[in-house]
Amino acid sequence: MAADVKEKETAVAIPKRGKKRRFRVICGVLLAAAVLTFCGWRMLSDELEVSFYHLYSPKIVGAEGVRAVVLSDLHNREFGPGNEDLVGQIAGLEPDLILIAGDMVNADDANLNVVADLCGALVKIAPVYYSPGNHESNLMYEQGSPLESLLVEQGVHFLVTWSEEAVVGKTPFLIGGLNTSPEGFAEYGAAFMEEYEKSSAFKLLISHYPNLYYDALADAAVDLAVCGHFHGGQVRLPLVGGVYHGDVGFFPQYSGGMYQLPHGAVFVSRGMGGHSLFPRVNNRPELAVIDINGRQDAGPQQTSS
Amino acid sequence: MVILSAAGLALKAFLFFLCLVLLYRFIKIREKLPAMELRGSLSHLTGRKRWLAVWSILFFLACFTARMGPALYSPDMVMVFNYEEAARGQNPNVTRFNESNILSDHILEKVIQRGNLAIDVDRLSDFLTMSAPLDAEKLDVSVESNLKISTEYRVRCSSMASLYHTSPRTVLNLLADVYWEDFVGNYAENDSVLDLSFDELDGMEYLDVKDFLSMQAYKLRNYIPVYSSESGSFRAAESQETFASLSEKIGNFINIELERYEAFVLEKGLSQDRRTYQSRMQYANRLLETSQRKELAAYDVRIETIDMYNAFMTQFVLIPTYDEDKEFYMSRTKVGVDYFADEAKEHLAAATELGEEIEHNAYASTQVNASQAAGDAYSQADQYIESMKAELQKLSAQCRELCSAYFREKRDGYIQVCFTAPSAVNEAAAAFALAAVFAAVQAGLAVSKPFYRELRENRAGRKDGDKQEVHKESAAQ
Repeated sequence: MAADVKEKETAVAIPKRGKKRRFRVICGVLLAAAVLTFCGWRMLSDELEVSFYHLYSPKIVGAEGVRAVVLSDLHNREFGPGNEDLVGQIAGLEPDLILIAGDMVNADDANLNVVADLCGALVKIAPVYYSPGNHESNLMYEQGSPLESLLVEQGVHFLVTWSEEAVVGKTPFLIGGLNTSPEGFAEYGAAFMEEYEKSSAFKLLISHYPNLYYDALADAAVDLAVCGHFHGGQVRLPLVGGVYHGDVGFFPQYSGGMYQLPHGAVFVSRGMGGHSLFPRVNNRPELAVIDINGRQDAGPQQTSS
Repeated sequence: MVILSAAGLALKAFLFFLCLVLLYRFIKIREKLPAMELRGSLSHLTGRKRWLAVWSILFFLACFTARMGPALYSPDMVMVFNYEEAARGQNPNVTRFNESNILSDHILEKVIQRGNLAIDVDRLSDFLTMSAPLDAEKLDVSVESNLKISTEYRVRCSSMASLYHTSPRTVLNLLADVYWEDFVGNYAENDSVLDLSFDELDGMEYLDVKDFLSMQAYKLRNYIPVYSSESGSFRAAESQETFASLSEKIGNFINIELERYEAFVLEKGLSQDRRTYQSRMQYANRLLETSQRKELAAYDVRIETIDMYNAFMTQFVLIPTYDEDKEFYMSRTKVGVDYFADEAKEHLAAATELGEEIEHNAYASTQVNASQAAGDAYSQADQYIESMKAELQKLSAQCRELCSAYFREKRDGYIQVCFTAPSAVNEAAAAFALAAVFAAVQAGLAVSKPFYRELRENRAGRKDGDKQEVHKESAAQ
C-alpha cells in the first residue's frame, strides 16, 4: 500500500520538476539573449563619442587654456544630413583650434563635397588646420584631385610638410603638418622636422601616421603631435586597446588616446569612419577634445579602501 | 557602468537573501540540530563540492568585476593645493580661501558649458560630492588648538553621470580645468596692471602727457617690488633681466626720459590749446593756494600749541613711556609735544610741496603764454612722445616676460590633481570575503536541505492525514 502511494507521488513530482526546469532554462536563455543583445548593441555602436583629454604645458601663457578639437579618418561619412550633428557638437565645444589629421575622404571616391561642406562650416567656428592622410595624398598626387585648392578657398590652413605660426590666447603656436609615411620620412620629412623643432613656440604637429613616433620621431621635440590612421585598431579590448591595423599588425603601440613621449605627447585619434567592411567593435567614432593648460597632473593615487 | 554598479548591489542583496533563507531553515530544524552528526551532515556535501567550488568562483569573479569596474570608471579626484599660503587657509593673493567655491554654481555652469553637457547645474551638483581628509577626524577639545587647515580635497562624481552621455572621469577633469582657470585667474597673481593703454593720450596737453606717462611707469615699478622681495635672484631665461635691474630701468625712464621731455616742452612753451591751458592752470593754482593756506594754518596751530605746552605743562606733567631701546622712563614731553611737532612738520612739508606745484604751474603758464614755438618743435615733441610710448611698452613687455616666467614656475604647481586608482588586491580581498560567505551559506543550505525536506514532508504528511481523517469523518456522517 505504502509503495503504491510513493509511486503515485513520484509520478506527480516528475512533471512538476520538468516544468520548473523548463521555466529555468527559458529564463536563462532570455537573460543571456538580453545580455548579448545589450553587449552587441554597445560593442557595435557607431554613435559619435566626444572624448576629452588634458595636456599640461608650461608654454601656455596666462590662466586661460587652449582647446583643440581633433577630427580624423571620416572617410566621407556623415553624422546627420550635411554633417550637421558633427558641426553642432563642435560648435558647442567652442574650440580655439580645429585640427584635421587626414583621411577625411576616400581614395576610391572622387566626391569631395562632404569634406568641403564640413570644412566650410568648421572655419566659421575656429581656425581649421588640415594635414592630409594617405587617402588625400592618393587623390591629389595620383588622381589629380583639386582637394587642396578647394579647401584653401574655404579658408582652411592646408599643411603639407609645412608649418604656420598662430597666437591662441596669449600663447604663440607653431602648427605643422607632416603627411609623409615612416618609410618616406628620411626623404620628405627629416629636413622639415629639423627646422620645425628649433622653434620655442608651442609646437603642434599634425601627422597622419602614428607609427612615425615608433622610431623616426620617437625623440622629436614636439609639444603635441596629433595622428589618426589606425582607426583605433578597429576592435578595442578593455585594458588592452586596439587589436589590429594592416600597417603594424596586431596590438599597435599607439592605437588611440594620449601617449607621453620623452619631449612631448602624441595623441592618436580613433577616427570617425572607416573604409573596410569589417565593423568597428567597442570602438565608437571619436571626436577628440584636447584641453591644453598649465594644470599639472600628478600620477594616479592608490586607494586604500 | 550603472548596470555594473547595480549588479554589485544585486549580488550583495542576493547573498543577504541566501543568509536569511539559511537562518530560516536552521530555525525550523533547530529541534533536530542536536541529533545531527557533523560527519553525517557533511556527507551531504560530498557530491556537491565541485559545484559549490564552481559557483563560489563565479560569485567571486562577479563580485570582483562589479567592484573593480565602477571603481575604475568613476575614480575619486584628489586636488592638492600646493602653495605656501594654502596651509594658512589663504589664496596665493592672500585673500581667504573658500573650499565651497570648488563646487559652486558658477564653476559647475562653466563645466557644463565646456563639456557641452546635456545636464543642468542642480543635477550635476547632486552627482558631485567633496570631502577633506580632516573631515573624518574628531576634534579633541582637551587638546589646545589642534585645528588644522586642509590643503587636500577629494571630489567624487557618481557613476549616474553616465546617464547624461558623459563619464564621471570626464566631468571631474573638466571640473579640475575650470576650477584651475578660475583660481589662477581670480586668486593668483594678476598682471593686468601691465596692460598699458595710451588711448587717453590723444589730444592731451603736452605737459599732461608727462604726468600720464609717469603714472604708467610708476604702475610698472610699483608692481615689481612685490616679487623682487620674494625672489630677487630670479632671472628671465631670454632677456636675463632680474626684478632689480628692471626696476632700475623704469627708474631711469622716470628720472631721465620724462624729465628731459618736460624740460623741452617747458622751454618751448608747447600746448595744444594755449587759452584753455592757461585758464586751467589758473584754476588749479587757485585750488592749490587754498590747500596751501589750510596746510599753513594747521602748521601755525600746532606750533602755537607746542609753545603753550612748553610754557605750562612740561614743568609738572610726567608721562610714563618707553624710549627707542624699550627702556621705561617718565617723560615730560613725549606724548603731546612730539606728536604736535611731527604733525607740524608734515603740514609744513605739504604746504611747501603745494607751493612748488603752484610755482611750476605759474611758470608753465607763463611759458605757454610767451611761446613762439614753430611746427618743428611740435613734431619733435610728438616724436618724443612716440619714443617714450615705445620705451614704456618695451619695459612693460620685459616686466611681463619676467613676471610670466616667475608666475609660471609658481602657478603650474598651485593645484595638483590626481585620480585614485583602485587597488586590485584590496578589491579582490573584498570580493573573496563575499565569495567565502557565499560558499559557507551554500554549504549550510546543502547540509540543512535533507532535514528541511524531511520537515516539509512530515508537515505535508500530517496535513494529508488530517485531510483524510476529515474526509473519513464526513464520509461516515
